[in-house]
Amino acid sequence: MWNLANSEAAVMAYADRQSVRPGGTIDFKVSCIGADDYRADIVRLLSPAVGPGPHTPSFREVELDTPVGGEHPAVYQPIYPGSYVLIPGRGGTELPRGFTVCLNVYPTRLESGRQTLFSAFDDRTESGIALFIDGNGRLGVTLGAGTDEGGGAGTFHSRIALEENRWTSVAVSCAPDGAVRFHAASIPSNLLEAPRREHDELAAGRAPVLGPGPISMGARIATDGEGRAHPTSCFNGRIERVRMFDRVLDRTEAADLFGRGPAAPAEGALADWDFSIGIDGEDAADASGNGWDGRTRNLPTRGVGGSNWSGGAKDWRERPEEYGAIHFHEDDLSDAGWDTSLTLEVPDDWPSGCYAGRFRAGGAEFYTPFAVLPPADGPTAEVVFLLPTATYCAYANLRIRLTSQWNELIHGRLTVLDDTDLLMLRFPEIGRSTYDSHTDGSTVVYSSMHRPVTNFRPKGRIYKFCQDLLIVAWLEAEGVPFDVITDDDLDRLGAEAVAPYRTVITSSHPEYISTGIFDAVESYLRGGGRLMYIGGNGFWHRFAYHPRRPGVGEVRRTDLPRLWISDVSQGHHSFTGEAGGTWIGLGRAPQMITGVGFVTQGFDECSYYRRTEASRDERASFIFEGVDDEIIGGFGLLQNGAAGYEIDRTDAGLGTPAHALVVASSENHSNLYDLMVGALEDTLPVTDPEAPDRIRADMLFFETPGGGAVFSVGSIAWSGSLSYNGYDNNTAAVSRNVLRRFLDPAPFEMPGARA
Amino acid sequence: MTKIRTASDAAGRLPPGIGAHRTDLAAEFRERPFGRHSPDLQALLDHMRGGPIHGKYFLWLADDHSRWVLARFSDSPPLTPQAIPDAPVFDDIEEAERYVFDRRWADLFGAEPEAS
Repeated sequence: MWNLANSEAAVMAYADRQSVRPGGTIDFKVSCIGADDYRADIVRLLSPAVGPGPHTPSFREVELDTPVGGEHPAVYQPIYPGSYVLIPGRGGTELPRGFTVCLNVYPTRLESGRQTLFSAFDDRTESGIALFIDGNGRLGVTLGAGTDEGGGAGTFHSRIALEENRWTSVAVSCAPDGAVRFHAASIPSNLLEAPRREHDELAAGRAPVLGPGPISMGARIATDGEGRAHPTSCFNGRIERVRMFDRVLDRTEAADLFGRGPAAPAEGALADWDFSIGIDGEDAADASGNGWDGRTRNLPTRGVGGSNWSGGAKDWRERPEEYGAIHFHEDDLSDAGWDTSLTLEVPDDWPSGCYAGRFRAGGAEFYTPFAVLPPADGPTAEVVFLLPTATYCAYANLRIRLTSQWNELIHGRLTVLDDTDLLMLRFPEIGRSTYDSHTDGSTVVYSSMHRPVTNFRPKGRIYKFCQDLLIVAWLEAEGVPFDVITDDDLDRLGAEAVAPYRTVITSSHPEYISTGIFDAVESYLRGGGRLMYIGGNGFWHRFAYHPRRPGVGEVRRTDLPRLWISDVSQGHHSFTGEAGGTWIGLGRAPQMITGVGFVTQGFDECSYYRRTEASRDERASFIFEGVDDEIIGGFGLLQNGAAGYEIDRTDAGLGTPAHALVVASSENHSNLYDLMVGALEDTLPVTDPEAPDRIRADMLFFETPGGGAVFSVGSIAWSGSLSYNGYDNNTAAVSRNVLRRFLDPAPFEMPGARA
Repeated sequence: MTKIRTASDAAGRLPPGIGAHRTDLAAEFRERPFGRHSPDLQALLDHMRGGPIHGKYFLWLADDHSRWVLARFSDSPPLTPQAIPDAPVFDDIEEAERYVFDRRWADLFGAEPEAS
């Protein structure tokens, strides 16, 4: 049984983009099993489905009449994860003088069974050479001279076993007489070890030849029943400086090559792949000058330390020669590569907003949301809602929610799963999030929206997009016209994408921020823009977009929180070269934008805010107009409070403006919030009994020099309280008051300017 | 002084003094499954909740978003969802927490907590 509804049918889909302008097109790729047909509909999303309840807005999706709507024949489209390097073949190369392949290898999961290091073997003709690690961790080769020669291929295992998480230099030569010789030398991890050398020899009886197909590293290429080429026998670990010689290298020559290290060129090589070239791209360059250049597939991790990484630099741009390794994973996936099933031409008159493709088959349902942007010639509203697609990407297919021992403990609640969540167990090939580890335990650093994403949807728990639709529902209830743009658009277009708007409203959780987004929001605010940050844990961590693949991003965790930290060599993004980490660690704290920054989280119960004396300041009077309550948000759909889940507070040392008014602060958070502080800071607690509780969300307001202003709530849960009592409550009133003033063109004045 | 807990504290051995006789902890949990707990109750909950993923309880959210069905993960790899025969169905998530608390209490101490 794969889901608890006892349904064998499953439908999954993704789109080629997360936003589209009116008049543009968006492609949907759909796969379906266990049903003959599926139904497709395009819907506009006005409110999420987050359960019944007197205070919960009803689910509102509007079915739209489009040519793609209707029944379609079900087609199953497989996903083949696993990263590798692919080099076009040369139609079978004869090797009258023999052949040698040399490389450095660092296996990270020997238990995965046979794993391919290098393959110039062609299954169809059974000709060529492949080097692999067998199920016992031993080096082996497959050799074949082609079925025409008789005898087909043979597989041979050496006695040389590789060690996990250690570098080894390997050379394997195949002589014209069929003798195969293995040479291996461990590369000491530190100066207190001596290298270990091993040799083995066996008689294969087959003369070497390169197969007519492509050369691959990190996987072998197979073909499925539908004729699709795909990786198989995928390797987990790092490979560095692969060299190919069209002759036999003897033991001395191999030892000499090993001794020169990965950064030195090798004279006379037929091919010499140097992965320190083009780390920011997907090329695999041949430094021999013979033109055996290739490409990486499925985004193996680049910008990782090689066997010679000295610790002298954490930026691969400084010492690329120490970053000549590529880390391959059997579960890497950059793009599911499905055929387009439906192409939607978005009519010119569709209003900007949140939409989705909705796919149903045999009781199963799957949504693929997207934003319709305002027309290219300008905005249609004074408010723009910024959909956090970078954060959705970082969290896409958050598998640890299901597989982690700790999920229930850190949430203080039983884990709640539905059938869409369980797709991650049924179809693990849909890949992981940047909060997950690969099967070999290394950190996932790349994520892609070009695959089915189970947690980007309008139904289910109050979380991410589903929660952000509560903000959409609030704007709809208020009758406030708004446009929607995504992080991807803001990163690409910069401040001009938001400049025409009077007010930008954030999502509930705009955590992952590219440099382009950070710059754009900062520039917008300097220019007099107004920002309603009605979320928590915002502007927290750097995210890097792939320069040529929209919807693909990278996260390198180099600092707090220490959970999921990447290995110490991986200080910089491969996509951009930028340093990775939290924006605090990068010197641009979220406090510089929103006035507040993340402090802790807890997922068991949310709390409330208590107003401060500053809320009576005349500058803040518009915020509390008609609100007499001292306690704000002691209710809500999200665990009964407006303050919680992830919360932010002020910090003058990190950039909270001196003139900011903290108009309310939360209090009385649960034990779980202590736990995260411990995990984050791991230091002795503040012992000054007069010090304010550090575990709090601060609600704050400040004016900016350009006539703009910022209002922040510093809490993910805030948007879960807006609909309480039919939007007649103090969180909705505060939000309404702020939005109304922020839409008033009258400039805000800096407090000093009045004197 | 605030006691700062770290992840390494969690799910460790049950602290001394916590056993079947601490029906006060069961009563405290019954009264308030979510929110701030006493240090001893929190330690007991961390222990109960920090066990291996295999065999662990979870709640399956039925498709109308108003019912939670108790389920568990498989006892051994591969990790799969397992229905529980005649599984209890809850329309109040706090009741689900109380039910699982009692099951785990019984697993730890041999019998469900007595009312205190």
